[in-house]
Order: sequence, then C-alpha cells, then structure tokens
Amino acid sequence: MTTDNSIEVSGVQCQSCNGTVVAGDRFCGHCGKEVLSNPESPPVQSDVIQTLAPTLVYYFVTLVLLAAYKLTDIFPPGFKGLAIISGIDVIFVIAFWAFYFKELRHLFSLNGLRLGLMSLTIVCAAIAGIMVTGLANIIQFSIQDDVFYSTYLFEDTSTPFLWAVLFICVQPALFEEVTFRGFLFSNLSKVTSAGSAIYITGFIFGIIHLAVISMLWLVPLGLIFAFMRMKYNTLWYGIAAHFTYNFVITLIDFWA
Amino acid sequence: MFMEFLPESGALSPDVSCENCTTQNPGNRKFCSQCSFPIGGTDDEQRSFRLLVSSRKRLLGDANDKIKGAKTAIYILAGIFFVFGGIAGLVNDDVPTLVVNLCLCILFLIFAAWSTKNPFGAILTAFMVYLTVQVVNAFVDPVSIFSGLIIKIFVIAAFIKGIRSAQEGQGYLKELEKLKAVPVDNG
Ligand SMILES: [Zn+2]
Repeated sequence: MTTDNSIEVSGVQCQSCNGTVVAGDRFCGHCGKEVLSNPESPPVQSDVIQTLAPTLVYYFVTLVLLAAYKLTDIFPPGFKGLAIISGIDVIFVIAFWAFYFKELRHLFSLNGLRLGLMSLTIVCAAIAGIMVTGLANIIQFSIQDDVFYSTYLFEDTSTPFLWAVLFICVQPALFEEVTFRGFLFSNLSKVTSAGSAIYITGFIFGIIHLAVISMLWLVPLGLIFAFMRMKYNTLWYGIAAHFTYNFVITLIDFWA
Repeated sequence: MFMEFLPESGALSPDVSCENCTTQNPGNRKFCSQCSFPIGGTDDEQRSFRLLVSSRKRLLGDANDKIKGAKTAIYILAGIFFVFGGIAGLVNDDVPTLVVNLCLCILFLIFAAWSTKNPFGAILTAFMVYLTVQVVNAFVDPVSIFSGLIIKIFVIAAFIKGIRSAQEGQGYLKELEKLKAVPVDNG
C-alpha cells in the first residue's frame, strides 16, 4: 500500500548519488535517500487550517447568508428575496470559481463523456426524484418548504414555471456542483484522501441546506455526486443528475 | 553529474540482514534498501535513526491523544443534544426541537464512530456541523451565543486541535511505515 511512489525498474541510478538501485528498493543503499518516481513533487506540509481556509470561508459566509434568508425577514418576501439571495450566492461562487479556474477546468471537459452512462445517470436521478417526492408525501412533508425554494414564490412572476426551473433547477445544479464537487472537493483533496473528501463534501452539502428531514436524502445524494466526480473526473454527470432530480421534483410540484 | 561508484560487488560480500526490518541487503550497502536503516553506518548514525523513529512515534502518540480529545468532545455534544432535546420534548412539549436534537445526537454518534476509522474526515465534518448549529441558534435566539460559552470554547479548541493532529498524524504514520517502524497490515 505504500509502494505507489517507489519505482518498478531494475538497474537504475539513484537520483541523489547516482548509485545503482534495483527494482523494489525504496531507499538507495548507498546514500539512504528515498527512491521516488516523481522527485519533482515533494509532499507539501503546511498548516491544515490555513490550507482549508477557502473551504471554511465559503461555507460560513454562505451559511450566514442562507440562515439570514431562512430564519429572519431581512430579505424581502417572495420572488424578490429569492432573486437577491440567489444573485449574491452566484456572485460569490463565481469569485471562488475564478480563483480555482485552472484547477477546475479539466472537470468541465467534454472529452470522455459516455452517452450511455449519462442517460443512466439521468434516468436514475429522475427515479430518485420521484421516489423522494413519494416518500415525502407519505410522511406528509413538503420538500420545497424544507429546502429553500417553494414553487409558490414564483406565482407572481409572468412565467412561473420558467423562473422556477431557472432558480430551482439550473442555478443549483450548476453552482452547487461547481462549489461542492468543484472547489471544495479540490481544496479538501490537498489535505486528505479523495475518499474523505467525498464524505466531507457529501455531509456539508446536506447540512448547509439547513433542512433537518431533507438531510435523509441530501447527504446520500451529495455522496453519490461526489463519488461520480471522483470516479469520472468530471462535473457533468453530477450537474445532469442534480438538474434532473430538482427538475422532476419541481415538475411534480407544478403538475400535482 | 558523474560521480564515481565502484562496480556492484554484491556477489563477493555476504548479505547483511537489516536489524530494523530484517531485509537481506547486499554486503556493500551502507543503508537498508527497504527502510533506510544505516546497516553499514557508525553507532552514532544507527542511534540517530532510532532517535528519529522514537521521536515520530512520540509525535504520533501526541496526535492520537488530541484526536481522542476531539472524539470526547463529539460524545459530549451528542449527550448535550440528547438532554436538550429530551427537556424540550418531555417538559415543554416542543416536538420539532426534540426531533432536531435527536437527529443531531444520532449524527454526532455517527461522527464519533467514524472518527475511529477516519479521524480527519469525522472531526472536520463534526466541527462544521457544530458551527452550523451555532450559527442557526444565533439567528433563532441571539442571546444563545453567550450561553455555555466556556463549553463552546473548549469544544471548538478540541475540534481544531483534533483536525490538525489528525492530518499531522497521517503524515507521521506514513513516515513510520516508510521506516518500517510500525506493524503494517499486509502490503
Ligand atoms: Zn531495513
């Protein structure tokens, strides 16, 4: 398990002293230096809280904003308040996105996307949306009230369905994925394994919605999206799944 | 770039067994190829290798103590949520508060269990959930910021120490594994 950075070659020279090392050697027998496959990247040791500062700052600024929106009447009611809070969040995410632009660019690549897998993702997300709505109905519970957006917020707009799709489906799917599976995942990966980055982003994705009951499905969804980001190295499956899931819930809410 | 080295003469001198990790090394080697123990070094060099190992073991032990401290804080919080929820539900008939606090209690018990397997992930997540609860409480009831301030400071300090130690501990453990100074479960 610790052999990943020792090289698998025979009769090569030590990078430090040019002495001969053989396959399987972890250290040079002549100078005692470690035999590394990539001596260019020594592990960087820096303070973990400092490294995680962007994650902590993003999380708590957003948390305070959402708590102010949800728990106080600082923001105007109805569509106007929702538009203001969404606007602030979008600006905030774009600022972080710009900061991490180079690091995240490869996650937006369309190369290697598989149509079959994408279709399967969308179908599964649609089924998940239907199942969660069904479950919520059984326990007499409104998802839209528990989370931020309620479709009635759009009733006084000219085209309620269109605005609802924009604010409930498009904006969260894109910006929450860029945030949680984009720069937060990236930032956490600097100090921990991809495995724990999945768990941490999955949990905080569930928590920040400030919806106790909805955490039951938000945390698993966050874990699945994060897992797909790690496995396929792209945000597109997560964005598609997130959009489909929210879209199905919105559709049922308008239709039923 | 050209440094001189005598041709390998492993066949002439007998193999030497490393006293740190028992690997057989060719007799002309100064260091063990698996753990870097100075097999052909002076007593002083060998002593400083052992000193390095014991200092790393001590640091790892200190880190594990701080991780334990954070784990204790997680258990204490689970207890506080349980008691608080119980009082709200049984005494004040406040069912929503009861449900929220019981959920938080269960969540923190999950974090405590998870911290055995992945201290960094569990303590960091618990820390963020804890601060989330504090922010929400502050909005719902601003006076609550000052209640139990000493416990809050103790808990936050335990979390931050735990997060640092969990991450540093991973580094010490890796280093000790490299030096073959810990029992490594199958490679
Ligand atoms: Zn050895």
